[in-house]
Amino acid sequence: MKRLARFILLNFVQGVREKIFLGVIFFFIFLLGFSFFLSIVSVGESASVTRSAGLSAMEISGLLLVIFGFTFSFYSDKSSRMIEVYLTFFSRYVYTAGKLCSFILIAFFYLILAGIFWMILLMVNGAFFWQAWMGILSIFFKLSIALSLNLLFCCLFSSPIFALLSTLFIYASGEIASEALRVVTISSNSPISLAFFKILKYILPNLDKIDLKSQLAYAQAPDLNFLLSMFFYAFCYCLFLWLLSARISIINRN
Amino acid sequence: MFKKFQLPLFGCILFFLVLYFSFRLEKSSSQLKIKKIFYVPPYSYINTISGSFKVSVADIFYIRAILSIAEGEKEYLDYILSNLRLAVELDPRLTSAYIIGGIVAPRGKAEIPQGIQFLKEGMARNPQEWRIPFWVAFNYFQLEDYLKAGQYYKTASLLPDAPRYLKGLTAWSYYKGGKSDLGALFLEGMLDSVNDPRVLKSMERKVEWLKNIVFLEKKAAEFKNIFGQWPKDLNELIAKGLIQEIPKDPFGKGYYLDDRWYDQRYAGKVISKF
Repeated sequence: MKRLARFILLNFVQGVREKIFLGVIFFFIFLLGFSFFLSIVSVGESASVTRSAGLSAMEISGLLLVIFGFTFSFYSDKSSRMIEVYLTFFSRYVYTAGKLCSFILIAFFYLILAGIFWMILLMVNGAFFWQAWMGILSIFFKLSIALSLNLLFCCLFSSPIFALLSTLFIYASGEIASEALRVVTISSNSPISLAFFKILKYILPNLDKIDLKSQLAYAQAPDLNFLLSMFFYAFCYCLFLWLLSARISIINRN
Repeated sequence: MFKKFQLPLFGCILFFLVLYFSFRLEKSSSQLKIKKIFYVPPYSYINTISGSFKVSVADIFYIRAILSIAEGEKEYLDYILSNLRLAVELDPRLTSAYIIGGIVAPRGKAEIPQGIQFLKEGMARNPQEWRIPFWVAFNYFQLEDYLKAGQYYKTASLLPDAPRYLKGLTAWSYYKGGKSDLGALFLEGMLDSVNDPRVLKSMERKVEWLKNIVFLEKKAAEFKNIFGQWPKDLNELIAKGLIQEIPKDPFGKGYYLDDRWYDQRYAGKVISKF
């Protein structure tokens, strides 16, 4: 357990020191500045625009950070043969869990930093409300699922480009799954295809459901039950993907 | 010595050349006179691809409409309303879009009906939002359709969080539309729901004011029935014994008859001096 904690800490410190981390922070500040100017031109809705644009900027920049950071770190371990050193100390279950936990920690750290900048902007624009942290929490859940998906694809493919693109596409599918199903329901009469798409929708991460951007844009906070169900959904999904990744991992085969 | 500065000098020349060609490019591209395409993508498409970013995407179309108003495009009202329609379909709580589309965007009386239509769509989407019927009423007031304005002020005044002054505006619109009896009835119905003694007093004064108008108009109609013509002055009603005195105006500076007695629309109508 101590070794796992050290491994997580090592990866966390490495991840934070990477140029990607700094680059994403600058990218986020740029997006936040952009959202500030958007709020100026959006007559009558400057508070809601500041809130929603800030949350969107946080999610997009956070997604870029975790996906690029994780893929880069995972494949550099492989190319530098560090993975072989690690695997002499840990099992692949511990290795994948450590890698995942360290990047979840990085995502959390990044969201706290970005959240501070965002809340300062909210205060400047008079759009601050204390439940705003719930938005950051919902993005954290989404990023954790994205990281688990990325872990799965990193374990599956030998190419980092494949892993990166697959994660991005599944993330996008999770975002639009509900609307896509509605389109299928209208256009298809076959009960088999409908059932298939329905099952597919529930298998894909329901990212549009664990999202509070539209509510928090109007300073409407969700109830605690909803937050808890979001947490359990994200936790179970991450756990499942981690188990799957460790089980089918190509690490062992290599 | 020259060799030392050769490369930086070359770099500087290149930099200024880039600036020069950038300027030229800008100038020549503006001569192309590219026609702006007033295109707004369909809701079904945007709704599907925007995922959980619907509010942010709605904000983009809202801002696009505002910038078009600022630029004063020629074929612009349809374009602005299409952008705003898409914005409110993606995010129905974007109430400012309704005031922009219903009040700010229409230029002149000819375009107001389009603004009203847009606001009515908003009423269907937000049946509990008092501001939208209030803006519809404002538009009807501008079109001098006071009765419809009164109807929408009434609708707005009955919705949650509506300010109290809307009740007064309803009565005022009915009065302007020549239906003071409806205004008096509406305000009288409202009296029971008012707790604040100051507001109650003000509303009672308005009810009395409107009731006096209704009373005088009735007497003017009676005058027409008896003598076959409309009275030209309220004092004629006293002279013929139909009323003993002209009631005191609790709101304005006294009642008088509309001097356009020769026009059927205004004959026998009582107005208050302000």
